Amino acid sequence: MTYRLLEHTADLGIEASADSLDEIFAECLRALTDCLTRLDRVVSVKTRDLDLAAPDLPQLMVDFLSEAVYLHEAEGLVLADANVAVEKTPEGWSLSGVVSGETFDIERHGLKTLIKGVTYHQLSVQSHEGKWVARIIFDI
Amino acid sequence: MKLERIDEFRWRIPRHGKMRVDGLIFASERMMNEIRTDQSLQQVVNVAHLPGITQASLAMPDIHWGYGFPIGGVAAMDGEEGVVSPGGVGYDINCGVRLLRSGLSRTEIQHRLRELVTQMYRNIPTGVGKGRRDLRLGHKELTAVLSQGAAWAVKQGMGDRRDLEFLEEGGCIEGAQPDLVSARALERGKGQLGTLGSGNHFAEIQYVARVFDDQAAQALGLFEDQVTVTLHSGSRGLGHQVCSDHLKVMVNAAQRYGIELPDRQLCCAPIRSPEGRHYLGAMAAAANYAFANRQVMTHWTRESFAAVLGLGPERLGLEVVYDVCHNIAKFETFEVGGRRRRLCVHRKGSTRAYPPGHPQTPAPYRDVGQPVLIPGDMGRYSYVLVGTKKAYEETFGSTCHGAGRRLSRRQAKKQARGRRLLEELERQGVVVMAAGMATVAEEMPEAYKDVAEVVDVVEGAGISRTVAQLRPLGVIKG
Repeated sequence: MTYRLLEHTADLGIEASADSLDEIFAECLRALTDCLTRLDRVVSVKTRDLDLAAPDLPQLMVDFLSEAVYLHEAEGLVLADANVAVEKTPEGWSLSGVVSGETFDIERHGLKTLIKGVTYHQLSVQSHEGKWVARIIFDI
Repeated sequence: MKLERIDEFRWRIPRHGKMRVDGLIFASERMMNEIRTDQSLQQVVNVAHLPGITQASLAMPDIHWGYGFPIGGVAAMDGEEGVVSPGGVGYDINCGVRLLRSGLSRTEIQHRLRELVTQMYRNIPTGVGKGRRDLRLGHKELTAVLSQGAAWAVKQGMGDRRDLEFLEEGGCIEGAQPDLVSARALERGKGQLGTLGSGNHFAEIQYVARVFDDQAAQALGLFEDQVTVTLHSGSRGLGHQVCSDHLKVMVNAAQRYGIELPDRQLCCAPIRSPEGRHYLGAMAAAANYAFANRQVMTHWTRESFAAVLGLGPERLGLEVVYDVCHNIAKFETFEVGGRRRRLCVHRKGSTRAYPPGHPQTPAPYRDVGQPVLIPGDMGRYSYVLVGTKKAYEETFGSTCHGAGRRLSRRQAKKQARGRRLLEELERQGVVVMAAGMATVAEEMPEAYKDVAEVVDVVEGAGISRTVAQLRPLGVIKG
């Protein structure tokens, strides 16, 4: 997994990189989970289908990761992985695919930092020489 | 950009380019050297571009870099011609602080401290997971919470009508529109009422360590060595979702209304536009959720003390001193240029500080000013201040909100490695119970700046007056 924590005084920031657009979304999801709990302890036993659309990639990333936050709060899920396709559309971008994980068990998984939401602060999703890099700050 | 020093605590960024007003920053010289190292000042300048901004783009001494607007910023917009921006309020709508006083002194509870903290920890859900099973809300009840705020909780028997007199806006912002709160936000809010949250939120048992102003302390019902309780919490996932929902809508709204922005993050819409009105309606609903939340936790605090000490409510005397918002936008009236004007005041990481004599300052405090509650870290101290006439004239009745962090969460965790923080804090006389050890490390005292410095500036500048210093005895965290 290739993400690093960013130095941010009040909140929690990550910067992740990947070789493809689809992968950068999956990588950011894994990074979010790894901020919340021990990613290596989460198994994929439950799945959820996702179908999102947004005018630009940063908004799509916020929407995508916000789904993970929502699934955690509303359904008690932690997500271990994502198998998604991110595509250009006439209106902007779309993401469709499956996220997988299991019910959060604080004893088994452990709690690192509770994430309240995904912010637009310093948000970026960019490609540079074939590599995708994303930066997101979480509100905690 | 040009930065002029006005006096020991005031700095001006003169209007230039497309700024509509000056920037006015309250800070000491030492603080200003630090402030200049991030984008905060540029953000103060950017905010000054917004249509309808009145008098100045203000920044308190605890200013730091935020989303679009700096945290610690105040911007008052003309109520008719101005804009409203979710970034000027913050993600945690009505994150705020409530202070309870008691009829107890420190010596009376010292030997029962751990029991009190344990009982509060048991009664007030913290960290991950939903709230108490006895407070799960259906759609109808949640709608009532969003409409009525703290009054809803009182109606359920959680507190007294008298509590409401001592809450900013009476614990309910007018014009809340629960039907404008998204289904997702409602879903998040249903299970979280009466939960403390995580991060820098806390419930803290304290004692009055110092009184600086006898008359004001007496009016506020505070005395040296008195046991107090502070609650710091906001609108939880519901408020966060409302902010996110509306940022998304407003990102393109400015362009559609022909508003030129130096920074896209200042996304806003005219107050009178549908987008503006919708945000204000949903934001007020989220703010009411936070007021209700702090009221519920007040009730459980009272129950905790009663259960452990076996004392009745009269003897316990756990009464609300005051409850303030520090992330909010609301309509307030001020005299500007000789005219009374209705303004939409955005306070993001800033606290209202109304003066003596103001009708919204509760009657018992009318001679001294509205109480202002400034929390510090869990090792040192917090402060109780009152608002002043100068704040009313200069900062739209606003002041600072807290200490601000010194270390990032990563740095704090690093510095905490190998240390037994809970034992360290206990040796200092503070009992801490937390849902997550990582939080304790991230929130340890040395991760924070010294709140006394921030308080010194607002007092030195005359926009607040220090009444008392509170020191922690026991803390619960998420």
